[in-house]
Amino acid sequence: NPYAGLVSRLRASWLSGKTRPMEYRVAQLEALGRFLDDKKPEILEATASDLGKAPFEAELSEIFLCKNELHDTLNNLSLWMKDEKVDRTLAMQLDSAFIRKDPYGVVLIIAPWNYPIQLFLVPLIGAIAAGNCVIVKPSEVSKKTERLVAEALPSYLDKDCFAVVTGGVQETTRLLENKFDYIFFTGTPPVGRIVMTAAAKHLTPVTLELGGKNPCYVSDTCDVTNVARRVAWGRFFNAGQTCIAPDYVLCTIEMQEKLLPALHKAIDDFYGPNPRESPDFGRIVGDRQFQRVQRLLGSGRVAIGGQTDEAERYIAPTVLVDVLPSDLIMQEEIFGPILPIVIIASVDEAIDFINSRERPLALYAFSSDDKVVNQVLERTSSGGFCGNDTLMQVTLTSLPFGGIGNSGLGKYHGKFTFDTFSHHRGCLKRGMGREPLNAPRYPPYSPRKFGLIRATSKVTRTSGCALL
Amino acid sequence: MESMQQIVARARAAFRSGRSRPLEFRIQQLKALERMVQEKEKEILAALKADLNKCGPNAYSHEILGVLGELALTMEKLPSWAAPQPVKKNLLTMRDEAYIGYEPLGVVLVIGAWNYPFVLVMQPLIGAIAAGNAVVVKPSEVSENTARLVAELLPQYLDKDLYPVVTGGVPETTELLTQRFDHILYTGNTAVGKIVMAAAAKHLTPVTLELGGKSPCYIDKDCDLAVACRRITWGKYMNCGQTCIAPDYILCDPSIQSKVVENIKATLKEFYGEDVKSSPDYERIVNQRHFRRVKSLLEGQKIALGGETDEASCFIAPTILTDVSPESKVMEEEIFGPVLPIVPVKSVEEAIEFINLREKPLALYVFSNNKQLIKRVISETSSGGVTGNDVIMHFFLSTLPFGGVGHSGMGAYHGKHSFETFSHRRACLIKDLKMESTNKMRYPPGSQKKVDW
Repeated sequence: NPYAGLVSRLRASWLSGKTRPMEYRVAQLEALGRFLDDKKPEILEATASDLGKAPFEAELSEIFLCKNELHDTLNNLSLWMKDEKVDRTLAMQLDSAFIRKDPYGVVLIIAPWNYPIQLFLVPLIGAIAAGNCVIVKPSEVSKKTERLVAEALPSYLDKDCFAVVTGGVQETTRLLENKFDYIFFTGTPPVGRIVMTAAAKHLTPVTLELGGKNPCYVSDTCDVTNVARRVAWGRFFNAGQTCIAPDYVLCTIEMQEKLLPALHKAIDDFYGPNPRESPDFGRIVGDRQFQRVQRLLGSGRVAIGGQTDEAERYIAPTVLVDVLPSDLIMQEEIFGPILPIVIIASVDEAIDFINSRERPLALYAFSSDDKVVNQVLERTSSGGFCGNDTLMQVTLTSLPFGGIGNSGLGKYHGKFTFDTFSHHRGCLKRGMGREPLNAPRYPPYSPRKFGLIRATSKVTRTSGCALL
Repeated sequence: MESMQQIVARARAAFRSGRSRPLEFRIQQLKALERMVQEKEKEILAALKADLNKCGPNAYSHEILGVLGELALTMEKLPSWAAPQPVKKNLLTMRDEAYIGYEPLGVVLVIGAWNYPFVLVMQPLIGAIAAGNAVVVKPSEVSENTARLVAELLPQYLDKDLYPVVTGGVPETTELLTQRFDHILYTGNTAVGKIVMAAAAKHLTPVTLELGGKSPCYIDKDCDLAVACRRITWGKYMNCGQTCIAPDYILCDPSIQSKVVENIKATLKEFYGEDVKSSPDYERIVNQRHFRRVKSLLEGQKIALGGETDEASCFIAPTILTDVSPESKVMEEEIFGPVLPIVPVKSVEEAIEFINLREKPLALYVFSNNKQLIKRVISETSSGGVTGNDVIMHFFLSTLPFGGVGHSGMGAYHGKHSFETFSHRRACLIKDLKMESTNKMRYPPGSQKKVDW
């Protein structure tokens, strides 16, 4: 077990209690902030190299969002760490009852390649804030960023308590043989199953941020220009390699006729007539992924885009029409800059279509009619939902971010990250006096004692049920 | 005989029909459960007596009272628990609607345990129904009378398709676990907990595992020993020690060890009389297998009190072992019986170290007049839950989350925590299709000006 030494070293640090004091956690978090500031040029360079990420996108998704989370956490840490007092029954009025937020111990964060800084750093913020020791395993697919994180991050953090482990599938498998007190994984459902199975051997709780096909319903009553811009932005950001990107559109044939020119204009406005020359459009991360996405172009018919360049791993912002539910592109999460349009005749048909498939990480509905948006929301299930826009639900740190069913379990962002990495421990502190009050619970049992227990601990309905 | 697949498929179809979603329906089902508990009280108590030799008042206060309380609380609070929760917005989303919606997960599996066989299926069931799910209930086959009763009663009072009861042993449970659920709540032991989680992993099903462990009980020299020992005696020997949060073993200074034994001995006489075996209030070990397991833990130990056993009636007297070695068998596994080892430690530091070298327990107890000491023990250890200066009682406050950590489990329930465990918190952001100008900032082509703003 090549990582046993590392894990036991971190566990020893954990047992020493080093990570518990708030001052320690704040110092480590502030160091993370300095990492983001000092290494900003290197981060932009690495993500540009790995993903062709536009500096604007990198700054927004890899630095700005992380700093928001960091500031939110630093602003609220002392409040989040406090024991949370709870309501007591009549019998416990003189006792102290509260929920303590205990760190778990040594936690593991496994990050993917598409937002290679954000997707390890935001969980790391919560893990440190909650008082844990952490091993970070960045993705080997985003090679330059992996090297940056492995070389630069450790010098900002306490090496006794935080470590970066690099490697591929083999190394991750060996790492997962060790006992962790929590595992946070972002990636695909098949690997999510492997991680949870490994975790089960040690009864390690997990958060799995997975993915799926995020449907995007566009109703007939809407401002087509605005819809097209918002959908195009969400789809083509990071060349489509976003777990919450709108994966496919559901609309009527009439709406498709209006949407296509609007999408074409949006793409043109964003990236110019030849997106390959735009500094704002990304590239597919690797050759294997490029080939996978390229294969999907065979589904339906290309209405916009379709050009590719293997050497650059470039796939043009593409819209496909005449797509059938049985086509290849409708069988897997696209994770590329291709937007298929699937025709449906009504909102009911769209909802049935969505509900016959695995529950997605995100779900989008566009309509100028509030009722339509709410219908889609109420009759479907998904990790999160955004009406009349894409991606934006994850920019609010007060909203939980996570999946359901195949798209994942658990949630984070803001306080939810802190809560994810804390054990909520129920505590009751009683006094040694007033022992006679306990008498009814002791044997020998009798109907009289029993009556007393009932009287003092009964919970009754205080009102009639107004709903019935 | 219906297959597991058919039962689960029917529950899923019933869930998909949407009828478990309206609050009125959920409250109606909970009301029916309440009627069931009130109307069938006699039958429930009889089943508990048959399974565990639990007497009426004891069974009522441990299994029925809690259930009625949970039902009343849930029916009262459900509308507020289920209401969408608006969240703090930023400047960019100021004009939007942002909230967390509580939605059912789908089809939930509840696997009960045999030691409190009624409450351990009912309490999760209440939360799962309240959250709008379909629920497959699998009571423990070891407490067979209660299992049979639950299987008979639930269909008489509840929607048959949404809330089926499945009975059977290991083969049936294994088959059940191959089906896909949207959440599994399992109460039982650590070994089976791993099996349940591994099965859940195949479907990416979230789990709540209520397991066990050795719940330590530290008695400080500075405390009212008579009171402490009375409370410990109550919690240790109730249900013949077969309680997941019973104080498993005692840690105390060697100088008070004999006083602890004296006090517990006196309390036992108070509780069960001179002849424990003939007290109607003292239970029995659930079956021969567990009887033999617990009895074997006495081998080679210094028995300060008790030690009498009778295999035919699965009787084991309230027993105390002194000067127990940390390496002995009785200190390896959760005892789950009326045997109380005392492990001498010379200081609270030694006690804390002892506790931290072992798997995290489901409960932790510390008795002391010194508030600072109690605070210290809590903050330097980890456990599912804690009660200071008493035992068991944190279980009865439903505003506290009840669950384990590490080998003692994951997730929690009781009261509102049950509702949240069985719900999906869905992030919802509803924007306007107008106001497009505020979006211009984020669209390409990018520029430094846009970034700096």
